Amino acid sequence: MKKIGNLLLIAALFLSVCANGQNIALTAKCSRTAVDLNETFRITFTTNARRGEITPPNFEQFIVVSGPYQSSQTQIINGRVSSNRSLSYDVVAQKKGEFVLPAAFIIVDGKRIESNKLKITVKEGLKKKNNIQQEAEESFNVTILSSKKAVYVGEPIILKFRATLFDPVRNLDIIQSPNFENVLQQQLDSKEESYREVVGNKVATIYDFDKRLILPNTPGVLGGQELKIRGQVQVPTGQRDFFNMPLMKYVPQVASAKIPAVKIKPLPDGAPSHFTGGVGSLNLIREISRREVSGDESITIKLRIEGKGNLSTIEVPELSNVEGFDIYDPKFNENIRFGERGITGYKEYEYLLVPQYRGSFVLPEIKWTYFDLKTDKYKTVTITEDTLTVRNPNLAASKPNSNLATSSEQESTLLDEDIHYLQNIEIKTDRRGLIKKGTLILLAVLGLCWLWQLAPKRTESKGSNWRKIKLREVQKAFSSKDEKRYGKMLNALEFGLVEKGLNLENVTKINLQNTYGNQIGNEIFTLIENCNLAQYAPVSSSNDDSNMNAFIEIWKTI
Amino acid sequence: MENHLNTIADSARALYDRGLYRDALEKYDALVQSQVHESALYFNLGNCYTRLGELGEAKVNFERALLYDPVNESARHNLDWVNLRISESIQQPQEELLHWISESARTILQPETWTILSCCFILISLSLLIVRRTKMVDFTWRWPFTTTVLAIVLLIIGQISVPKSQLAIVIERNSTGFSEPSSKSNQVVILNEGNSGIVIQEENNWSHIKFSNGRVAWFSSKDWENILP
Repeated sequence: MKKIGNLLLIAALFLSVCANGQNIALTAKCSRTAVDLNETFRITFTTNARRGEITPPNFEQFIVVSGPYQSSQTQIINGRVSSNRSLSYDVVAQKKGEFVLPAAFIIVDGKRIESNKLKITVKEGLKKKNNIQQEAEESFNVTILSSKKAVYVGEPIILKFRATLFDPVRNLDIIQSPNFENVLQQQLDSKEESYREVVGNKVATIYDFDKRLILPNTPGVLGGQELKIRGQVQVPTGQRDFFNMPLMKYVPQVASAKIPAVKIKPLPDGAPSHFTGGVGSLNLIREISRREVSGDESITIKLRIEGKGNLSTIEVPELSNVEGFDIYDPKFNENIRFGERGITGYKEYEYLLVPQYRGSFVLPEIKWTYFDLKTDKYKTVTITEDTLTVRNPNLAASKPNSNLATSSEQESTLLDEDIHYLQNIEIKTDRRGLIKKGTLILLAVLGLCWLWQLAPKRTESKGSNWRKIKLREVQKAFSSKDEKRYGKMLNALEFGLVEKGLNLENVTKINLQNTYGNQIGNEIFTLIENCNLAQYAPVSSSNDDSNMNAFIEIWKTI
Repeated sequence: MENHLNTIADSARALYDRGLYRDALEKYDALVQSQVHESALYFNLGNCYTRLGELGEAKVNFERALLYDPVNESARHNLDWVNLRISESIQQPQEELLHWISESARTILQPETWTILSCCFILISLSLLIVRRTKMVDFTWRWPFTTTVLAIVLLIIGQISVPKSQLAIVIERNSTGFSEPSSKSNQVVILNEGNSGIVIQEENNWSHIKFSNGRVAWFSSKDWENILP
């Protein structure tokens, strides 16, 4: 019984899986089957398969504006699980007509499941536009401006992509770039410029968002796809908010610009044989490093095309073989600038000529022709022949037409002779470590020295030194009974008073009392009087002692 | 010590003159191991490698000679000579502005000379400061300050002028660049001997190299040699 139950369960599972497999489907849906030119619409592919990737068809007739957007949904209803996955694209029609979008497909368990095909009709003016859409369309324009209406093949044209915006626009984006046919194009490094200008009766924002230099290479008319840009235009809805401010709405809009009609003229017939395609205002220059060599020197010859023209597409003429010299593979240098004034710069080959024989050798004449745009005529540049002289006595004399084939031995000799010889090595004791240590020590000392400068000066100490010296002088004078001892005492007192801003000659008792206090002020005043008297009258030794003691006491205080 | 090293240099030159380039190379290498970093030494090493036909190594050494003495005209000549004979598939990358300033400073004076000059100004500053503090109290602080600033500027120039380079050159005949530091990853580029790039990272014998065109790849470190010894 149990076995039968298990079998029934397996059978039920098998049937449910089979049933799921049978239900797998892929459907394609379009938000609108009839659309206007430049109208964005959505194409969605939906499948209920849980595995496998949806492969979209080729949107050849449409431009994918955004996407793919992926979404998935799983539902469980009454225990039954179902899931949906979808892949969506927002697209814009490129041209009018009826188009069939091929089927998308998905591969599940090795089985390819295809979607239905979509039939889409594109018409102009199909969609009735309301005022907002009308205004959004009128506010958003794009043009391609050309610097010239007619050019020769190889003559550069500058194209400027310009958006004219009458209302604010956000999220501006190029959705289709004009792929110009039969041209070389170079995007110019220029800053995006925007400025305000009156167009018609309205003020518009002019926004130059791209500049390209185009170099046509076949005659005819400049061709390519339209330029398409999209953006969201802010237009008033005509309603007002609570604060009576106008309500705005962002309307997605696509604008397109046609390729400007530029005629590309072929170059006139009768081009000289030396013409290699150069167009513009060009020049061919040959630079020779030296015309005479001696010893083991070599010669450098540069052939350079410079000026303004189609430098990026032309070749520099090659240096023909020069007898008596070994010519190494040239070095190529170029500096080409693309700008609004066209293509300028130079390209050159740098040849190294190593002499093999002694004598004089002819550097042949070079003729090179380009088409001059100033005169609309072919112009030939002629570089006259030149002579190179080799005076190296170690080399064999020139033998034109002789067998000059260089053996490997000769090449190695040239190699040896051409590089400069060894240099003398001056081995010095490595003092870098010593210098580094010394510098660090000196820097530290310098830092300390600066700190020392900032430290306050020991004025007090100096002052006490001065006091000691004066006291010693006075004591010495009194002990030796010097005649000028009281003069010296007065002098010392004068120095002491000066420190407090007092002058001995006109000092008063009150000044001294105010400065030093009543007691000390009186004592100083008495001592000054005693000193003044003692200078004119003899003084007893006992008075000397008492004055000296009084001086010492005062000296300590002041 | 100096005499011993001079003897090695003389014997290397003698070996070179006799055409024994490999032996001369070993002698010059011994000098490099003895921490002698002279432009002329690297120039002579470059010459030995040139004679031996190892142009990648020769280029490394001529570049080193120029790193230590940017005005070594013979090294520049020999480097041009080597460059003409190797096929550089990519342009040599330019190092940053600081490298250019460093080279310009070395063109004027060697880094040690800048430092010694700085030391002289430090000594002048010290003398002025001591005099100001002890003898001439009224002496303005502006003079020692100016000399101190000059000393610091010269010291900075001395530090900047110390040779620095992240440039490396392929020394093997071919070097394969991988997308990751593993020979099992995707091959990105194969470069010939003499090509150069900037080393931006080194990891387990793998070097992450950046080229002048902005592209990067991982190379086996043994295929490349840094310019800075």
